[in-house]
Amino acid sequence: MSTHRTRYITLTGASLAIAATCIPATAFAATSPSTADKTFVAANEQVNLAEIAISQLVMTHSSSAAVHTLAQKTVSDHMAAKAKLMAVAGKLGLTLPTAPNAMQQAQAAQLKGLTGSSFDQLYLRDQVAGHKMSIAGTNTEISTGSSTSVVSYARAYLPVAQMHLSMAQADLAAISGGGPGSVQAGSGGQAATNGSTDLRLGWSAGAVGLALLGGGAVYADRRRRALQ
Amino acid sequence: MLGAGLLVAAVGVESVALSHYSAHAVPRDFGSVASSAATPPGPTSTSSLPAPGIVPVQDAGSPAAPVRITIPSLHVSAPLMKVELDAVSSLVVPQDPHVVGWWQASALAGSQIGTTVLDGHVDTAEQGPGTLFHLQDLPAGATIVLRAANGHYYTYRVTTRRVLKKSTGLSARLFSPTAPGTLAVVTCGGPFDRATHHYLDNIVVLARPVAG
Repeated sequence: MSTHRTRYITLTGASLAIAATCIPATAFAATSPSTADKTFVAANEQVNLAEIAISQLVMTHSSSAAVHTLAQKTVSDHMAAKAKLMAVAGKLGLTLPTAPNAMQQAQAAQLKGLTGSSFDQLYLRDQVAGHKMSIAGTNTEISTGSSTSVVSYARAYLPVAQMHLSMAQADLAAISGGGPGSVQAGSGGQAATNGSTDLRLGWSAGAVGLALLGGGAVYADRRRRALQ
Repeated sequence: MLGAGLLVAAVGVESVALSHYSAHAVPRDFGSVASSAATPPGPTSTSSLPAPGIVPVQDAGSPAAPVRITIPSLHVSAPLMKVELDAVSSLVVPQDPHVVGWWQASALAGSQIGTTVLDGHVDTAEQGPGTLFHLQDLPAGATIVLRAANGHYYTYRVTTRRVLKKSTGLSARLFSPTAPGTLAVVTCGGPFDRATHHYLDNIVVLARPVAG
């Protein structure tokens, strides 16, 4: 038994040694993280951190069932992504950021100040914008990344982000969060193109006309009396 | 004189009547509307540019809630207050015509993605012309400055104007959350219906951030 095990380890070691000598040097270079890989990893971790933070706000700031469903899904998926990314980063010796970026923090602060429908509108608009940007960055990593483990992570992450985007877009459309459908911002009529001018001139002309009319009547009356 | 008076009075009365249904020389549209960033910020070989998934931050500072609008060419400077959509998705307008509203669910000032949406009165029956009385005259290239709660100033340049019939509603494309950083300012204009005391059109001006 012991002899077999020793022989097995030896063979395995020999195989690995042979395999290592057969792999071209460029293959090692291809799997080491490039600057773009490192940037993607850092950015994606910040997306995970931001998604987890703002989706947790939903629990206390929204009463929409659809928004809660999306938030629960994003928290769950981004926590799973975070765990996978931590493993990838550990393997590559990369240090991950511990906080969202400035824009994400500003968006979280904006969300914290809202409740109800305004919160839902902003949350969903941010979800659509954030996931579109995240997907764009992920696609770039897939097509240009160097590290096989980072690219592999990106490939697994992409459909998850695409699903979140679809859910957010559908929810946004359902609550008319695309923006104002109308704005009623005038009741005076003074800015009506040509209309205000016509109006002022009209009343002015009317007033002058009435004055002339009155003056004319008085003049006619006096003239008639003088003739009598 | 009597005849002249009658003539002028008649012209005046007719003019008043016509003003209710005046044929408007509405301002022309110009510029285009980008509903989505053609190329969202992504990785490049230049280290100073944003990383994928990271929204770039203007040199003027991180995005923040806008608190004042200034339009130098119109001699306009007005405080902003937060407004929201009502039950029928109409954006509430501040009652005071000298205050401009910021849709609180729209982008922050200085955002490089999304649309910051403002609205304000062109006029009111009670107080006359409002802050945005001359918005429809604002030409392409004019400057709009937002001061934000963080004390920073964000400068935008007018790119687009749309005169839109209220009867058809405002398109969501004008207020896209994925457009490259955009400022949208909305007021009323066009013909005025004296029966309902409403203008028939919305004037929408779009502006893009000036590189810091």
